[in-house]
Amino acid sequence: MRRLLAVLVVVGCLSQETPSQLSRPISSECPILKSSHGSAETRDQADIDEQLSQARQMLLKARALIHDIPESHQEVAAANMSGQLVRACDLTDALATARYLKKPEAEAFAMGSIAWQLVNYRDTTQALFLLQTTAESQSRDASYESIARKLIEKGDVDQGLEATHFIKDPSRVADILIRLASLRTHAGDQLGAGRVLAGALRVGRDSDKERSR
Amino acid sequence: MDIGETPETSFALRRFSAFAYRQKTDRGETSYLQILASTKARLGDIVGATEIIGELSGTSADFAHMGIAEEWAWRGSIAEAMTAASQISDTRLRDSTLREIALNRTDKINLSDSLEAINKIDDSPARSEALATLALEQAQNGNPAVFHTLERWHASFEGASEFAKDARGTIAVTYGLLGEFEQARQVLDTLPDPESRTWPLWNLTSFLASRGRTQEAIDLANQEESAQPKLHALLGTAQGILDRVSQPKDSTNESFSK
Repeated sequence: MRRLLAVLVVVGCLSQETPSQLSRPISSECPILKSSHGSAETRDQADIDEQLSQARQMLLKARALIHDIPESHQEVAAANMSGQLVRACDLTDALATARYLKKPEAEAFAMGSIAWQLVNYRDTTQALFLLQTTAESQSRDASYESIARKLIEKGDVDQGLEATHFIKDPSRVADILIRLASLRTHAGDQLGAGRVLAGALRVGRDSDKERSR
Repeated sequence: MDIGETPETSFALRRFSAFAYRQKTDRGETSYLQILASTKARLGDIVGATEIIGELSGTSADFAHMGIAEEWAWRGSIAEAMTAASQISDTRLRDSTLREIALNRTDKINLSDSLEAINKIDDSPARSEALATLALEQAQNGNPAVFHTLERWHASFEGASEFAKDARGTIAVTYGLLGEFEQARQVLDTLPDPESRTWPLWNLTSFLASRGRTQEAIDLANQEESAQPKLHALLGTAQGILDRVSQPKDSTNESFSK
């Protein structure tokens, strides 16, 4: 175990749009305030706002240093900062940070990190929407996979299956679904496991049909 | 082991076993037997794995010995694990196996077993790193034995300079987990190059800010002159603040004491 603070490497791909060009408005709700902890509303709102503002300042200060660190670390740093900016209720700067290095690979990492945090705060719709605005690639598939895994781990089989539907490489989907079914089995959810496996069988059958055409 | 032997694995192993022995007979190829022995050990079949070792020679038996050593360690039989590890001829592989024995995550191995395994690691930096990692894992698990492990690390490696820098980062983070930030900073100050300060600073600033000691985290970030550790100190501070915001209001971050 080397890193306590896990480096989120959720691979996405280049988005063609800037934040302001997104066809769906960015949610103004702050995910951390409606998180599963459910404790934030009981606190003094001004104190929370101050802390979120301070966290944002730290992250933007950190972002300003990104070109001064070794290039091999820049992508992961940008992805980590993007994810934390989502937690700090600043999706606009999270998206700007994803595009900060002006490199498709860096944006891919960061977009996956943003989407993962959104799913973490139960905003799966927004997460899937953001990934849909990125170009198709293996990286984006990997982001969908990690989101599906997170959702299915949490027992949200329907949305997890929905996320796998966006994976473009059919050869990966059945394999991913089988692994996700085993997650549900280990969680003692035979019904959920059966539904995920049924999804895998459907993918296999569709793939066979496609090949026989 | 996680899986154990099932009818399906038995059937597959029998087929693979026939193939592996045939490869040795026909072509003198023993790599498949090495894989077979390791697999059997990992499935818990130590007798079967030991039988295959008779077909192997020299370093080709190393992975089988490693598998057997780790299986014994998993079962909590430290003496057998150490005996199997001592059969490994390659020094680095033997050290790595001893590290695995020491850091075995079952509850069946106690601190003196872990320390005994670490003491047998030949390479000094690897020994230092294993001891530091043991301390970190103990701190993470709230195991009070961490303080004894830290004392052992200081007694053995504090004066060691360059080679122990990775381990020193781990020791600094361990102190941070324990809430002993002054000691963490003292260790951090001994890390000479910026890259080696990055990971510990990232963690320490996060721990500080999540305990409400944000200004100390900011001070650490401000004192850092190199971009990479500074960036991560700022990132850690932000993460700690956000962790604190999402914690239940009355939760505390009490450190456990000696």
